[in-house]
Amino acid sequence: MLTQEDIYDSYCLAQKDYIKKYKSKHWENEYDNRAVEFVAESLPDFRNNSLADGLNRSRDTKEEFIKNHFESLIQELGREFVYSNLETLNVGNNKNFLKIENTEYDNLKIECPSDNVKKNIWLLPSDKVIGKTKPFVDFQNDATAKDIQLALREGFRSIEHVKRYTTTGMGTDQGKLGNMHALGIVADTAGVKMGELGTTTFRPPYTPLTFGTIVGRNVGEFFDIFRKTPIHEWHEKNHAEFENVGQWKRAWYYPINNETMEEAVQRESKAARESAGILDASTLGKIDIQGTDASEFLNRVYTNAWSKLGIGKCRYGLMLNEDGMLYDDGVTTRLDENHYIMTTTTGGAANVMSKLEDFLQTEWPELDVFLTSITDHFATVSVCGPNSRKILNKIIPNLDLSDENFPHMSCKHAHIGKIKCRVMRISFTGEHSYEINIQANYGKSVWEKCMEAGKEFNITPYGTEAMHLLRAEKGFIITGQDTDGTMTPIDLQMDWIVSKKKYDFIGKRSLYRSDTIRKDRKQLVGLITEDPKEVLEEGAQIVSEVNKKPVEMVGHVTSSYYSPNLNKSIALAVVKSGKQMMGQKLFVPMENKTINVTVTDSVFFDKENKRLNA
Amino acid sequence: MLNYTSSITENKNYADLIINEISPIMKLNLRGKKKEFLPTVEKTLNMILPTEPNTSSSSEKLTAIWLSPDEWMIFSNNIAEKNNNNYEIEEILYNNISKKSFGSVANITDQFVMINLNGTKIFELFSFGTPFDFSEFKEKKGSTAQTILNHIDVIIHHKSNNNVNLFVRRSFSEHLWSWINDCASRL
Repeated sequence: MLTQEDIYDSYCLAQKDYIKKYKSKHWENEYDNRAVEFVAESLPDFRNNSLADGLNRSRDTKEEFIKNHFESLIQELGREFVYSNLETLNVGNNKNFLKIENTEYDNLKIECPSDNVKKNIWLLPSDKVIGKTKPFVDFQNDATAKDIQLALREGFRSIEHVKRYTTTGMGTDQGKLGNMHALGIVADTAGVKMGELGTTTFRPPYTPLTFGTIVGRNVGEFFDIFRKTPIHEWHEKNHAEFENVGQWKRAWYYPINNETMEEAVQRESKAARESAGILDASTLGKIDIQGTDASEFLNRVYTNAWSKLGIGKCRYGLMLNEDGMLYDDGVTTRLDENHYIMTTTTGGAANVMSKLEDFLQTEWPELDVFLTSITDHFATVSVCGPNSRKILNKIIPNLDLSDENFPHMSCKHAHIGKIKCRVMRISFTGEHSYEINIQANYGKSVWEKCMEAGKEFNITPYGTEAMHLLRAEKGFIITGQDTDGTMTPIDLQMDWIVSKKKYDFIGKRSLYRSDTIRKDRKQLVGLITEDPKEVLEEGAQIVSEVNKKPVEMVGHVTSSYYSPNLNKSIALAVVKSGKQMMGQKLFVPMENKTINVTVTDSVFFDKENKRLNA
Repeated sequence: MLNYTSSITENKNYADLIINEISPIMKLNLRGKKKEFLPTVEKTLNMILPTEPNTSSSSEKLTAIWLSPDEWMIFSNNIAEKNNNNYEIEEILYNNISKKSFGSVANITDQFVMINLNGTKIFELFSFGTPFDFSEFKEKKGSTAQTILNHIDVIIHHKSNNNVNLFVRRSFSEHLWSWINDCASRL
């Protein structure tokens, strides 16, 4: 026997949309429209469940199920009874059915606007013009509401196009934070309903994630990756201060007895010139180059010629971009007929490797050349100074270190004990220098041996800051410090390293462009301050006339130090038409004063290179 | 006499995971695409180099990992001596391959640190910091992957069930070791 509750359930199942559909198609002639409308509008649909279960078990379609059920009710109870019960089951009488009397909500007064139309506000109104505000929608990509509106003004209608134009929803949250607002703003602006816009492709994360899940353990000491040299532990034990160079931690300077950085650097620089200094150069990039076309390959990537470099000899090279601007530099050594080892700058190593491999695979696939990164395989210990030869002789006594057998810019294979190593006589300080390249796991031991052997010569470990000072005294450039991607070798006064005979090399064509041959380009020069104790600030602008308005800047300072070996301030700078300005007075206006400087040659110390063979 | 200092000096034991560096292990990088290259290497090493991507092959003494269509990494299965760095195989290969211009042979023994991970939680640990899907990898012994772990380039070699070799550049190894231990402590 069906109860009143069953009847109620059957009506509940007939939801508004379905009923409207049946009303128009099926029920119009069969049932009373009044009853249908009543069911549609007055009955809540929260009691669908019991009949929904029946529907699930039934083989009938939903429409058939409802119709059959309704008909069975009428047959069983009579049409009149059903319809009369319909009348009693309106909203006001639900309490009878639910058996609830006198609820506490009866006298509840709900205050709402007279036009109780619900509306979502996707973009809050502002008293400012939207162009002057920054209503951010996508917090990761900084896309704002005005960007979205601009996209629509530009004619983008598809939500996928709006997404790509504005980058809204393209962050790691994939729009989980801002996409609904973006859709709302697009809909409001385009004057359509949100549902008509569709959505962008739904991508993970499908469910909300914590930021911690995205970030992982990249917090605290794991916030950033760092690389250490094989000698790092020694530097730490000897109280080195470190600086970040690329991802590397490099020893910056080694303060003793509460020295300031300036004091430590002055002491280290002086010691390197007067007796012996030692530097951890392990971070320099090293690329093993092998193949029958290795020489041709180097001819194409460097500005100078390589075919005639003898086996066991080293050569300095400049690498340019296609635009003719300096990209990287370093010393490359010929180990065998078809075998070279290239060194790159510390920060540029990965990019150089990638660029060279790219050229080999895409531009010059015909070349028989293979590149292998071996940066981490070697520890590099650089010993420089007038006593460097004596120190090396103590460590590798069976290696003939005479200038005849082992001249500047050459390489020897050697053994320290039973461990094979390569020793190169190359110098970045202008001093007589040796670089020992040894398998990384023996690097710390070699360093300690050098320190032990150099004790009688007061060997002094020096960091990157002293290295920068020493090379500046010699006018050697640092790629990225004295260059900024706009300097050609000619701007750097390094015409001597650009081959005029070679058929081609990367960037050659660009060196002949009208802009790159302009005589008033910024060119590398030296600067000497009028007051020898006045050290210029790196980055300071240079002017030729102090009172000219507007101020016309002719260049800027790229490197500046107080040289303990020259007892005066020195600086490298790039100045417009610098080559023609030797001896000319220029000015460096600072906040409280103007510093008078004189343009000089960029080599300040040992111009004859006598110390290389000292 | 020089002392040997590896970047990782400790072994770590966690529940279901043991981690340690294995050194010294000789490692060589081989590159070549000439037709003489593969037969010469295989004859010299008495083993076949894998040519299927992301696989490896092994002999009694050596394991070869495929790195790219013309690049392989060879490493010794046994620990080398610390008091010298003369590797006979390197010399023979250099003479047979590099000197004859069939390809290139480069010693990368200390370029990479080999960390061995043993236990059932290896891939759970990797999931902390790599985007790589290991579902197929862990089913196949000898499979290899070049991916990133905590933003650091690594080569991963599936040595045997629940035993994996991880190769990382030496300069990154200390940082990665520290990160691995941090993650392992949270498993």
